[in-house]
Amino acid sequence: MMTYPTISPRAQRFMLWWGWVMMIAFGLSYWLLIRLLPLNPATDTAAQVAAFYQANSLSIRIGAVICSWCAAFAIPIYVVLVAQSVRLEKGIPIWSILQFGGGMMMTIFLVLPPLFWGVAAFSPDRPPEITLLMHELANLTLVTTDQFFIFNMVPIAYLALSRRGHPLNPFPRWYGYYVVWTALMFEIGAFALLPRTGPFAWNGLLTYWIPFSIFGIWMTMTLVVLLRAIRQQEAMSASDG
Amino acid sequence: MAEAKRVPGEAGIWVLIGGDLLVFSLFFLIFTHYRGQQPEMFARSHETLNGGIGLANTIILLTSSLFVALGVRRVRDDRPGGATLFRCALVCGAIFTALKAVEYGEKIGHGITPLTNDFYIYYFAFTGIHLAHVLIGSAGLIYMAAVAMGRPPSTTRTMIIECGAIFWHLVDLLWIMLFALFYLAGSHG
Repeated sequence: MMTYPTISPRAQRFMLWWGWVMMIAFGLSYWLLIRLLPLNPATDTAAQVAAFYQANSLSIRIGAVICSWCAAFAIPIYVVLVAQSVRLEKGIPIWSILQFGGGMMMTIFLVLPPLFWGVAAFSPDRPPEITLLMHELANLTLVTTDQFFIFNMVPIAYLALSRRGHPLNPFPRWYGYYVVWTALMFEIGAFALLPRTGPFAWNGLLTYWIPFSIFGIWMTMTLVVLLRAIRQQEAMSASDG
Repeated sequence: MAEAKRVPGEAGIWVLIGGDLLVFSLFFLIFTHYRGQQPEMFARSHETLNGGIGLANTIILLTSSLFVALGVRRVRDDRPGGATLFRCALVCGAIFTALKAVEYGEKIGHGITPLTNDFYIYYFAFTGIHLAHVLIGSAGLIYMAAVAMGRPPSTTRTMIIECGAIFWHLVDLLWIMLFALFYLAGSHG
């Protein structure tokens, strides 16, 4: 019945929680150490931005170090996702590969903004315009790179909704629809390249707050859904003997 | 199956519908909030919108919703012709998209872009996000037409078609909201 090497339920659970704890650590160090939650207004001058980095140079760099450690721990979460979704496919699991590829790319775009903030804080006494450039690169990388999340989400939604009644389907149907909605909402982030004020600015309601909130909810839902799937997997293998 | 008591489609799709309605309501509030801050500029910009195209698109989408509703009825009653009706709705969607392209082209031809002022970033962004919904809904219509060709009718087939129809009606409803917001009420706060 099963032709794929499987990860034991215990290992899956461990990877999931470990990844999750590291994501929380990532969020906390972004909030408390890098201190850019929310991002400063896009209308700030080079002098204001440079002053922010001078005042918080060490704290931002420590935050960037922690974020650099933590960002890659999204990978185990996606490994568990793929270990579950691959059970829904026969032959070469194209949708799972696509989903995993999207997840891998996403971890890169998770680590880049803290890295760029760290670079901006690395030489706080350089000319302010250069610091501003690095700061803009970091912020726009954070809010406009949602496409890679979408490449992860669309295959999950497809598998969730198309494998109706599949005994191994770990994804409830409402979750599939939530993921579709999340993917749609994430597309708004790229607008942040246009205005400097209002809801589409890089610290705006539609490009910053909503995608972040939705992503947090998605992470939580995914954790719950996967833990339930792992429990079912255990129950099934127990009854299979 | 208790026909009168049944939720159309399936419960899960209402997560997507509800989420979308929530966000478009937010668009509505954002637009009115910023219009309140710059009423003259919004009124001036509103004057430049092509009301003819806006109205035509409203009628086209309402017509497409009628086609979809009739198609769903055919599928439920196990009568032929559902697929044809979904294709008619698809043509409406294509006309809507073409007219939107003409309208955007007109604006850009006059040197109006999303960066012209606040009114236009909302206009381009909100109608653009809606247009993405039209394209997704159109893909749904193509799929629905294929499913409607299948025989015999099954609860699964009916459910897929109902879900696609619900989404298409949502697309229609969101457009009515945008039409009211930009083309009708754009001038007075």
